[in-house]
Amino acid sequence: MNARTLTVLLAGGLLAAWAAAQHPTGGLAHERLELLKANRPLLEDLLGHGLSLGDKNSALDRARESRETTNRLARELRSAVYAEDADRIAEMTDLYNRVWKEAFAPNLCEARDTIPPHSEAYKQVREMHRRAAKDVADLAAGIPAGGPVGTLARVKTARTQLEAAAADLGPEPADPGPAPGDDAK
Amino acid sequence: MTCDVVRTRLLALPDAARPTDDLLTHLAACAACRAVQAEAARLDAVLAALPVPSSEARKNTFLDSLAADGPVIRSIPVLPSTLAGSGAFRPVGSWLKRLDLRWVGGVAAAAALTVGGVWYANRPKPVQQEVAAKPRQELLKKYTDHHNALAKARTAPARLTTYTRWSDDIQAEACSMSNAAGQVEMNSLATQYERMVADGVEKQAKQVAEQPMTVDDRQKVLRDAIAKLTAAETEARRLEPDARTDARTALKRIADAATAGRKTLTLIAEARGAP
Repeated sequence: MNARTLTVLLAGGLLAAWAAAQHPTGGLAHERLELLKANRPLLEDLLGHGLSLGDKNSALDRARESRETTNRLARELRSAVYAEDADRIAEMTDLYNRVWKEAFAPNLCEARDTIPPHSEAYKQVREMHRRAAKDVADLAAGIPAGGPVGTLARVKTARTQLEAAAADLGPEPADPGPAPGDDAK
Repeated sequence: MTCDVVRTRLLALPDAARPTDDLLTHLAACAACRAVQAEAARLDAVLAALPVPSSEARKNTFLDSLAADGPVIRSIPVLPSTLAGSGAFRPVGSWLKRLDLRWVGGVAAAAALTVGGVWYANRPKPVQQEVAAKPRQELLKKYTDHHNALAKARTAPARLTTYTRWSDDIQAEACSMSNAAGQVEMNSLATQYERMVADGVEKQAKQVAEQPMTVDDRQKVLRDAIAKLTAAETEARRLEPDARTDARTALKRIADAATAGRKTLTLIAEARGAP
């Protein structure tokens, strides 16, 4: 190999190294950027719900705000089902379950156990329990059980998780019956 | 030789009127087979007498119409080969000559359509394989975790801690992505950071100040938040000058929000009474 060939190769190598260093997005950074772009609206909404939670001083209010969050994630999950994106279905189900189990269900149960049965707030707890149980059942039913996506293990798991989620809410709040004093009316 | 064998061979003869010697022996003794031979010979004669419409003129007209648009290969040259020269394909060749090409084309087209239709109906469907899952955004999971921590938090100090961590995660994401993210993403992160500091950290810090506690306890509660805001401010200002134009504005906003938050929290921490 003569000196000229060696010089050309060396110059080429240096040029390639310089070009690679100039490129702002490597594989990992590019991947992160794509995720940031895709999730930006969802991130902004989660942040909004998180800030709202800071103002909620009752279990019922926290349950209500957490339910808004689960509704937002459910919307994202339905979009993933529509797009037949198995990974996104699994990811959104995972996030939904986290919020459901760690934020919504504990606060709703606390509200059910602490709010006086004949109060207006208790009626709201009962209604929220009923609707949330129905919504999560509908959400589970919306995940395909067959077809190219429904047969994948992670989608089956997602569906199973959602089917079991209603149990986290515990027993339906009992009907308190007529309030004391109503009999006299 | 049985009658069945004789009749089969009679039908296979090119000319049923001229049977071979061994067949003649049987025919001489079997009236039934003679009747079959007579019928076969009569059919051969009838078929040979049938008029065959000449298609030569029509074929030539059709070929000429094709050739009118340009050069056309009228015949495929046949290379001499020992097999071809041996005459082994002669019967096939003569059979092909007798075929009507229009029928052959039609049958071929029908076969192609049938095969295509069957294939289309049974074509392999795209199936998502059980491959490794695509990467998930860690930031999204962190947001959810912070959200859930806030749903459990019952006191201002607990909320302050969570909002401080949350703002820290946003600032870290913005700084690490400042060389890659576009203006929309960077502006979004800057807005989120501003909101988190103003409506989360500062708001809860003010609630901490309203709670009955000693100055030392209050400073202890606020110390971590002030340290994180200071670090965020330093990091954003360090990156700002070398960042792309798109990112520079966002980093400046983050640094300014961190500065404002730090000042507010420092004032609350150093206040002797309720601010």
